[in-house]
Amino acid sequence: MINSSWQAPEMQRRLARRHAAERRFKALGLVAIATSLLFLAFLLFTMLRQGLGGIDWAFLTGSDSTDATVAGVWGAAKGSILTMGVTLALSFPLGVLAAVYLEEFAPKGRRWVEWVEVSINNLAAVPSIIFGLLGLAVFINVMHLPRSSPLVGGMTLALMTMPVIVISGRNAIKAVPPSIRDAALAVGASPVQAVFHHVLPLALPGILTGTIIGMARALGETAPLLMIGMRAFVATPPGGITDPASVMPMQIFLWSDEIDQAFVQNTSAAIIVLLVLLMAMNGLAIYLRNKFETRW
Amino acid sequence: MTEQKLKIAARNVNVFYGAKQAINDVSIDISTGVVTAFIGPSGCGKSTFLRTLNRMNDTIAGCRVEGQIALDGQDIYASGMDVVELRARVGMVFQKPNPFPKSIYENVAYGPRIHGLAGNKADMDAIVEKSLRRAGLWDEVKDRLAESGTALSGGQQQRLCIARAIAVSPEVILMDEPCSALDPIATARIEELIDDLKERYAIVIVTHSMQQAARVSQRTAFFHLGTVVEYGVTEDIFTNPREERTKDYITGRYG
Amino acid sequence: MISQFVLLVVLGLGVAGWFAARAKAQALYTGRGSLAAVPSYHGWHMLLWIVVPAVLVWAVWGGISPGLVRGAILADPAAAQLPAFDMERDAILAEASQLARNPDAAAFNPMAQQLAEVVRGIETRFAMIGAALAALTAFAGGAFGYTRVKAGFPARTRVERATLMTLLVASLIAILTTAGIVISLVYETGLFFRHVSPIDFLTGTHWAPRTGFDAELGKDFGAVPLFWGTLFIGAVIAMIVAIPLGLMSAVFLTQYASATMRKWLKPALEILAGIPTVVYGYFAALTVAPLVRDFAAAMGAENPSTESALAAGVVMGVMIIPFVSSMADDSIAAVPQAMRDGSLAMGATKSETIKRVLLPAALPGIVAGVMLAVSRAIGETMIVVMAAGAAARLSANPFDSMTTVTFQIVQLLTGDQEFDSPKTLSAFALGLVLFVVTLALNIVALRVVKKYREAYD
Repeated sequence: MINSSWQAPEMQRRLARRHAAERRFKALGLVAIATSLLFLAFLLFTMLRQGLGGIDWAFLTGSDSTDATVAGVWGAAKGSILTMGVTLALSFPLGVLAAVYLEEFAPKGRRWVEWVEVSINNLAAVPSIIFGLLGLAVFINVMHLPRSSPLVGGMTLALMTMPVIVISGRNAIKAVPPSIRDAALAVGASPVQAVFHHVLPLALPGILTGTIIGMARALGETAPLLMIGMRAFVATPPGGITDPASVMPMQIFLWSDEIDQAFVQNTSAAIIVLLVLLMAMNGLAIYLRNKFETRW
Repeated sequence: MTEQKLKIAARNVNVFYGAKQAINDVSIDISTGVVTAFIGPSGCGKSTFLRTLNRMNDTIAGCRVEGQIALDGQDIYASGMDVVELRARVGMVFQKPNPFPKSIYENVAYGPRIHGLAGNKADMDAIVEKSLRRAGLWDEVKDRLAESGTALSGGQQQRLCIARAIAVSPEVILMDEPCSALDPIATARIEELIDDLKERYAIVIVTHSMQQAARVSQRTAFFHLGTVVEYGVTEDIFTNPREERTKDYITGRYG
Repeated sequence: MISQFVLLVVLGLGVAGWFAARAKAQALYTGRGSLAAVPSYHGWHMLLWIVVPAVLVWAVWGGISPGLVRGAILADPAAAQLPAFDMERDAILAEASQLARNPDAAAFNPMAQQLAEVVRGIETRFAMIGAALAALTAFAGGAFGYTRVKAGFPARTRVERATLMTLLVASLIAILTTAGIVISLVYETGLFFRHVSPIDFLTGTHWAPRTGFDAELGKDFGAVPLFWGTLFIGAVIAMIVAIPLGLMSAVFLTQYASATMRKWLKPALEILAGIPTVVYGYFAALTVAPLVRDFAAAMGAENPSTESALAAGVVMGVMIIPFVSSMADDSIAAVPQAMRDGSLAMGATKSETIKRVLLPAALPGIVAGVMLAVSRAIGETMIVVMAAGAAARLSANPFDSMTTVTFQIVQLLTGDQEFDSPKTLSAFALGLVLFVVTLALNIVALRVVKKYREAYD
């Protein structure tokens, strides 16, 4: 039975229909991705059009004001820097140490170790506003730390960022081949020495990449800081981590609420500054990943 | 002796992966009623060449084919050739059984359904039954057609894949080391099946095992470093090879 | 101020101890095998003995001294005429303490002004006692540590044990955080449920939070409109945008795009995920919402509101696209290549292969991805705060203004309020509901993903 039915006109018509469907489906995929990117372009274009004119030296060095023409972003930026400093100082060491423990030393199969792992995975997916509630209940109402301060804001964001660092840290440590550990152990290093002298330095670029990404996320975060009252009107930049402060996303939020139309330009300008910072951080993360990416 | 009819004629075929040449000037005839075996050491290009016969190498980025491969006299790399039609006419069975994660029935019905070969449910039932019978699987699965194809044993899965290929009434069936993941008993069943199938189809089998080539095939091509060293009647190749390299391979000196 | 000073001194002592112990160990070194650890480990051991006990003492002192300070102030003759009423007295004491730290500030209560001097004196006295205790401990620890620098002393093993303890403590922070969330949410929710029954809260349809405790409170704390708004915006509108666009983007990127195209398009798409939510919120409020309103007006709606569920939901959906896309991407990539080849080898077109083989095979992973996406969407705050509105209403009209759980949490907790008013407490009850729902979604989704991965391994 030689199959010649493929030449039948009906079969050929069916084939043509199938190929048309194929083209439609592919076009649909292209439209989907183009729609998403067009939305992005529209958003960025809107912000640039409204905000670019507002960026000048006075804006970059000034602090908040009730007068839109005087208001600047530096006060909030300094608040962000202080807050991120606290976040980094807490979440990086704790995150790395926890990652080292879980990947290298934790006894396998123990109930409490599983709990730690489940906790970390779930914390990474808990809505950020919940961390704000935690910060409000524990840091402010129980520990009586100063409200609206970079200290409390940084601690709250550190709890949020730590799981991200632990997860990326574990992946980076996992990627270091066992042969490195074996080599260190074979010359008489203790397990702790093998990890701190050999494994950790090799895993560091990966950990740093994860840390930067976590910090970028923390830098853009607003909701948890609303909970702990970091929406102070800051006419002078905060002097230390216990002063009342605001952060850049919060400044954007506060300005967006202003009735005075002149603040539209300020809001968009602050958004541009924030986006540039975030892109620089993400760019740095990508650069680090590419530069130190090692195939074992 | 079954009727032999030339089905695929490959002439001076070269295959490149980027700048690297994988197949060098290969010419081979494949006929209905004949099992053609490709043998040779790993990396010799036999699987690559097999995949050019139904253009499955299209899915690999940077792969380029030169020369002519004609199916019933029609160049399969010509712009007018529809790869959908080609692959329906030249079916393929893979090294590892790869049933879809669907029911046994749906696995077999998949091809006829997309090509519109069955007019109604009764036609489809008939195609499924006929294909499973030809693949020697019907008696084992007829009472559990709704079960998942992935729940079958390895040998059964491979016969399901053969049934799936048969269901679209191909003219050629390409088999890429179809028994390498199977135990000897399952292998023996597949080999019997290949012998039964050769009456209706042109069959090409790539195999690692020279014994298997000797058992199932009538023509054998010995591939080495991307070229066909020797191509001819299986019995001649195994008993009286013309080329030194063929003799070395068959006697196990390398490979 | 004094805290930083004490810490600096203790650290300085530690460093000095490190050098001292190392020097002593080096002097003991007479050749290979004469010490059980290299000299620097003796140094580290010494440093730990100086710093850790001293810091612990200082921390404990920080915990108990406020009570002692308070007792001392109340015992002072200057405090004799303080009012007996607790709350009033506490307010004056707190103010006095503020004044003690910041003498330039103006006093609100004259009594506080008088007390400020006394308070400052007492606080300084107790801080000095604590500092002295810490310093003493540092010296004692150092002395003990120094005596341990001996030939056979396993300094390295001890230091490593301390290191491991530190690592262990660091990894327990995650459990502490989770426990902290659960305990604080459950505790505050418990307080709330003393005044409003959980049934009223979870099934009531009237939401008008207010302060003051009375028997009728339950009628005004029915959270169903909030749950509805949250689901309508996060799980319906956002997903109607995000699922088709995300899924088709993933299909295009994995199945159709060339390697170069993929290299550019994928990071471009991921930029969407890196934009802060407050920016989306602003864009939704400023640009998308007016468009939606004009559209509604053109459709014949009367007085459409500026804030609408649709504007918030659509922007949220766009924000989630890269997430859905990358989850779908992973799931499709996890389907073995052999499946795809099997289908193509039968003459199926690419789209037939995708629709009939790849997507069904990847479905569990995609469903799990959508669940995670929903959990993100319903926990998202800033977009709804800025674009969805405050009106708690049960409506299926996407052009209506609607409110969500996260919006109400923000609304209830911003601004200075009594911490234990029913309004603020209800925010924690809402938080608990949000936490439980997102947790459940995450756990189920991760299970599905895990099972699905195992199926193809």
